[in-house]
Amino acid sequence: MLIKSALIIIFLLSAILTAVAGDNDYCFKCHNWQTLGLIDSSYNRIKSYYVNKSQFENSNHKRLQCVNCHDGCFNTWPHNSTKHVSVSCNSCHRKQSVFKLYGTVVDFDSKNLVFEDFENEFFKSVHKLKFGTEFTCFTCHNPHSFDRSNLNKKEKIEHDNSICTNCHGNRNKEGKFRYVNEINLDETHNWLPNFQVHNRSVRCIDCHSSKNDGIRSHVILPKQQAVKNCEGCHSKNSLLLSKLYTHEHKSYRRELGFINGVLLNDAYVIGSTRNELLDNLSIIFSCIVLIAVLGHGILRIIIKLKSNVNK
Amino acid sequence: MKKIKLPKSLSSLFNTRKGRIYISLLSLSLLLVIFSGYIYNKIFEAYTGVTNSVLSYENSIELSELEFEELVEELTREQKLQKAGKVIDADDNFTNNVRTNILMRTRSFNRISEYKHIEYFRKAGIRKYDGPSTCLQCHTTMKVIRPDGKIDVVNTLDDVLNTVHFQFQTSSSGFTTYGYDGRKVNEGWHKIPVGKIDRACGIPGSFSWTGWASLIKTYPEYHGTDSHKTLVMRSEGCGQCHIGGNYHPATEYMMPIGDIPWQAKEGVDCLICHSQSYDMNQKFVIKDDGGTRWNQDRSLRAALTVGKPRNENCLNCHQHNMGGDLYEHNISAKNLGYKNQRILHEGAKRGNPFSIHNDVHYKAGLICTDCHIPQGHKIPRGTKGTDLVGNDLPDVEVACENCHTDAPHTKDKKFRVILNGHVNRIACETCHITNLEDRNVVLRDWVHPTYNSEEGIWSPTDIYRSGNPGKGFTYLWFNGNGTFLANALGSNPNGSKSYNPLMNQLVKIYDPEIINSVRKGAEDLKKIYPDIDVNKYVNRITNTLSGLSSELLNKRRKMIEENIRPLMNQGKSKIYPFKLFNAQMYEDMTNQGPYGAMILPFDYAVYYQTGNTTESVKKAIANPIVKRMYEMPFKYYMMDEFMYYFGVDGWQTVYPLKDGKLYNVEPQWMRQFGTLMVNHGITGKAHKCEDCHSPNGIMDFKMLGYDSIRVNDLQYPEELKNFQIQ
Repeated sequence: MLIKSALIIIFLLSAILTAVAGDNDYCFKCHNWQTLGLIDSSYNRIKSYYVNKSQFENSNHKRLQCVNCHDGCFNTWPHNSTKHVSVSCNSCHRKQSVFKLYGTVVDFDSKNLVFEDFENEFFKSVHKLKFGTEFTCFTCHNPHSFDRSNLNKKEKIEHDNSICTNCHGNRNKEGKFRYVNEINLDETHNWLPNFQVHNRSVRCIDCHSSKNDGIRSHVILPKQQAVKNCEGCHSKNSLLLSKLYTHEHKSYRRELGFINGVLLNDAYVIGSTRNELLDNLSIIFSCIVLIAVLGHGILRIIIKLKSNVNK
Repeated sequence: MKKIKLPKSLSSLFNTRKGRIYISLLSLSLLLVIFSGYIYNKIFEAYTGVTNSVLSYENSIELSELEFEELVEELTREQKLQKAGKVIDADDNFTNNVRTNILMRTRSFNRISEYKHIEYFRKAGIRKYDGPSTCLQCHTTMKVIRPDGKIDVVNTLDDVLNTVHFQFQTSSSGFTTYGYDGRKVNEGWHKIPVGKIDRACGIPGSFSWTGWASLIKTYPEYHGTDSHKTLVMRSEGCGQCHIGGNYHPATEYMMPIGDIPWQAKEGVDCLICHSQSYDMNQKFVIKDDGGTRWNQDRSLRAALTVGKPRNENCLNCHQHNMGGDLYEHNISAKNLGYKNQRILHEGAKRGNPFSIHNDVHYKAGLICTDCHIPQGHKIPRGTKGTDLVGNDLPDVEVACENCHTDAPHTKDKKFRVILNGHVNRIACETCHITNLEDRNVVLRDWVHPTYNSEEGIWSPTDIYRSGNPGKGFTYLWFNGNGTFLANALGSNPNGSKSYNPLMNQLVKIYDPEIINSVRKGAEDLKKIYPDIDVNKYVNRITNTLSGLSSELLNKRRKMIEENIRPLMNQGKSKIYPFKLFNAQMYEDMTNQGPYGAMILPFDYAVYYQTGNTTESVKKAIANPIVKRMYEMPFKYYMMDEFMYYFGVDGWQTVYPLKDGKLYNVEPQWMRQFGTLMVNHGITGKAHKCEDCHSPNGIMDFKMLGYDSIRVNDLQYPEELKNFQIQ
């Protein structure tokens, strides 16, 4: 066991809260109402205070109390807004942070739950540079329903893509950043053959994020810098190895074993996942079969003719 | 056979027997095709007993040039005075008047007019309004803007004739109604014409055919002396709210083929919707050689002020079913006719008034078509409804959320968010319609009319009227659909099985105040009709299922669980307010089922004049169309399907009149209360929290399917205490 130099135990409970709040059901009594919200000052959007209870209870944060993150005075209604302090991801998800939860100790570093790198990358991304403080972690990620680790690969792709299309692809939705909704994704991607198939098989950020900085894809680049050459992914040293498939190989190897991990995984990218040896072998075998069939046929004809002649 | 000299080719045709038969058959069929319209109409008239002839209107007068200019002067005087007032402002009053006078005679000033058609009519030389043909001179076609922005060009007359406003029915799908057999009306291949035209309902007491345009002879007490009262003719009938002026409703459209005759098309009243000076005193029944029909205002005065419909136009007809005839701001009820005055109906159908005094949207200056956005002449009524009313545009939403979004509350900082949370379960109307008019009719007895000496007519007795929540109207779960007899369908989102309005709140009255009123009403009636058994009378109303045999009762329970329960659980349900209604009518018991029997109509003239209800029914069912209803062709064409929706296994063609006596006909209350949506008369001052969230609130949570723990929670919510603290 490594001994950390400083264990920071984070408790975000105030005494009042423990007395009043009790457990999540108390909050959900009102916050599970779908239409709990208020029209926001832009008059175009509804600021929703709704948290989907069943989604929360399946999310990565399901063991948390509401009050762990939402500090404030909740024994009067409506909750006085100046007292509500919601934390940001980094309040917990940072180095050397250990969360003590009902006797269990969750060490963030070893569980790969430190998000500081993400934040650093995010500061370089086009969203942060363009929108500044308006754009936060929560603009894309909903902490109440975040359950990405439970998803399979296809679901992960869908989940990640929906974060982007929430603003960028959906003309009918009133997004916070409304003007970006004017984009028609099919039109802007019409240079890409089979865009819909790409949409289902890879994530937006696999092409639209930096190829060089780290492996965590939070540096989202302006559209001019997106990947536009096909060979970038459709080749042996596919870019995807450092993006979508970064963790795949490790997890396949872990689950299926070393060799099976290679043979039985479902990673398939045209031009990238080809195995030269198998390709050549299959060609050779096909030729052999063809020769064998033709040869057999010819031999039968010759013998038949010969027997005819004999007669 | 006489041979005619002809070239060889034709010879075989004309000179042989076969050829001549062939030729005659061909020419006969050619004649049939050419005159098919005429022949079909004659057959139709014979079959249904309707008449058609040329419609003429006394007030359609041709004006001379001078009269025309005088009329224009009168119509525009108000506007011009206003305009003049803006530019003339000397200190001296006398000077102002002189200057105003000069301006009123100035040419260019006279051309300023809000009524554009004055100039059009003047230039086109139109000095007489002849009905639709006058309008169609220029407006043969019209542009219709669809919601997706596309522009269609349609034939105006066809566009008008193919609306529910004209036809009073539709054979297409798009109803929000389900039959008791679980099928949606007109969703299958066998579509039947349904709508006001053939809806038997206890509110009007008649079908459109039997009660179209009647002249009633009345002897009111204020006319003449006690010994010799003078006759006052009154008008009554469904045709008063029809945009056509024919002797009968558009029955032709009920048939699979056929069109209405050209005479009927000339009867379309463009002006009642489009004129800004339509005189409702011209709406009375007239009798001529063709029969009785409704008069219209076809004066040039009405025609000159046409424009897009405003609230007054719609309310000319629609205030009757909203605020009611006796609603103090009902304008058309104050203009009953220059002669043969229309009869006023004292009880209100919905009792939710629409006027500047009672509705916030009216007050804000909105007009009907701001929410009911038309496409051409087709007007949507929204995707939710309990009654069997046709909808021109069944896919178009008319809903509060369209403008107010799902977070409509903004004013009260303390409550607004939590009120927005309620939107998920509670419809806007539930809180924002706090009361209906007092004259909202809940119980109407047509079988025991009371003599109204002031008007000199026998009128149906309204046993109970109330506009109070929990009494005149109630709260039910609603997912947008209703049953064939206007019962709201919906379910408690908690999935409660105990919510069963068709066996609970719509068939029993528990409220002691209402029961007392009913008892008193029955006792009053007993003074006129000594045969009434008061206890039985009260029981039939407060326990409507007592009208069913035990066999039918069991069938009803079974049908509800099998057919209706899945429909109740469909979609998303919210709590809506519903006006309740039940009526006692005569029913044809040969055609009865677990939800009621076929309701028979009354003839208005006989009913109002004599109060003899059985004679009135006999006269009404003697109408040829009703007779046709009881014959085989109609049975297969329509009535069987109608009965399946009613929960009955088909239509029995046993005509309920034998030897001059009614056969197997009984007076019956409906076996469940009808529920009608109320959506207008929206108040800014809505219900308070305590109105529902208290032990004796207006909403019966137990009846709405909540278990006792939840009922307690809802009646004594902790949050309410805390809201008071801050």
